[in-house]
Amino acid sequence: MNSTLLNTGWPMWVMLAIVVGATGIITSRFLDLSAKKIFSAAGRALIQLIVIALIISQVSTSWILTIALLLLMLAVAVFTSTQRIETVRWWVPASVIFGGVAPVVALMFGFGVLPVTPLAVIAVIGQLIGGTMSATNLAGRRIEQELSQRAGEVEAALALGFPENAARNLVGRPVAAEALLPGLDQTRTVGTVTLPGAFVGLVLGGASPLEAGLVQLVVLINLLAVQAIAVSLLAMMIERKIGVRA
Amino acid sequence: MITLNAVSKKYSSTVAIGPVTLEIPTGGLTALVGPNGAGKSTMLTMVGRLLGIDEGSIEVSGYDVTKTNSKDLAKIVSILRQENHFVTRLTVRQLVGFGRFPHSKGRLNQQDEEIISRSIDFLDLGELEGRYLDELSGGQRQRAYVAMVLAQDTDTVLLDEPLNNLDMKHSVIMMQHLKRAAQELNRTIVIVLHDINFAGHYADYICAMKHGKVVQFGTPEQIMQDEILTEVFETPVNVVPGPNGPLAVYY
Repeated sequence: MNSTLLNTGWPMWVMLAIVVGATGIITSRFLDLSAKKIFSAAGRALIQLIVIALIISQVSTSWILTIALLLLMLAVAVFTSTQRIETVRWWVPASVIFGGVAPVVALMFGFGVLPVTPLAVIAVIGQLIGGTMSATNLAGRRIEQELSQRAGEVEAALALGFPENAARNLVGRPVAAEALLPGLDQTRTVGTVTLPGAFVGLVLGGASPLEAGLVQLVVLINLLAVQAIAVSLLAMMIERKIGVRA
Repeated sequence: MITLNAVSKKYSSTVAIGPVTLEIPTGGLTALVGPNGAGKSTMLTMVGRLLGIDEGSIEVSGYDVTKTNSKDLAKIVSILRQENHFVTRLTVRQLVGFGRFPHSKGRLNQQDEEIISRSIDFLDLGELEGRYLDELSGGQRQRAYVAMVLAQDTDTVLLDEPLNNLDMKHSVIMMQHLKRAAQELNRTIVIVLHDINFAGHYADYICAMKHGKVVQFGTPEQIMQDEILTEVFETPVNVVPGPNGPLAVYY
């Protein structure tokens, strides 16, 4: 199969095999990370992208399938977050990811920024769900670690008469904000250090650089917003022990 | 006065505290002593309302610690455990200022500043007040934490092993400060101690615990006896006259 964008013929597969093999050797020899993990990640990416390409080609004409796909993406994100943040129940990540994405998507629809077409909806909302999941996982794990390692400080605050949520806030809130740093840095350095996927994809797909830049701007700003909402909600829930396992 | 009425706490089928019934008089320094696992720190933590109880009741200055609002209790009883230390980068003065939280809610006024200065001076920390905690020695840092609980200005102060990690000199200085706080500031200080001789010399009362129960309570003269200490610590102890009072010899 050939493309006008990249040569996706057999040389690409040979090159990919060389790169994956070399990466596996490097990580196993120098980073104490098994080569199997690299091969498995590459294999999963291949299968998942083939599946998603086939699905999207089918669902792009059906709103029911579009919504089903978005729900599946949300479910996988929730499952992943529940695995990563061990102390919370599944409905905590579900609430914060949905709570972060929903208002921003509503605004995009409200202002007519997001075209009401299945492909656009899947691409944008999918990206927002993925970005929110990453920030949620990072924030949740950091808050968990901090509350565990600095339990004495929480107790010290309780001894001083702080309400429990305020005592937990004292320790958990500062590290929760760290989860926004990757998104913040990406937004601050876009165009100078990084060229994000949406921009590159649009340019390779034939859009003008200006048009691609504007789309990227919308994606980045909205991603920051959904992550900020989700992380704030998560920090608040963990501080108040809402959905936190005893 | 601190009153414990049939207080019990169960952890498992084999580990339990109580039932403990005890009255710790107002004023002076009371030392909790006993072997490892006797329940001293647990009892102190329950009195300081940082750990719930299963049965019974605990009153501090007439307030039931399980029913009184935590922010009100913070004006009545302060507690410093080994673990509940702030690790955030703070200066000595900032740390001591934390002690005023129950009164100021984070907005320090002139009176708060005066009490902070008084607490700092009381523990001889004047020259160190601008230093960060991680720049202090173990003894200086321990004094800073005690200054914080004194700044909390509560009638009752609970301290869990404040001599831990202190050498002889700093242990003596700390006990002298605490004795002075009890006498000059009229505080009721309850302190968990491992060294029976420190308890015998500085405490006004000694409460001996074993297997989660109070087995003896009295003045140092009453507790510093061969049979009592031998039974409490489950090792032979001889109490001999020393230059500054009775000394327990256990080696």
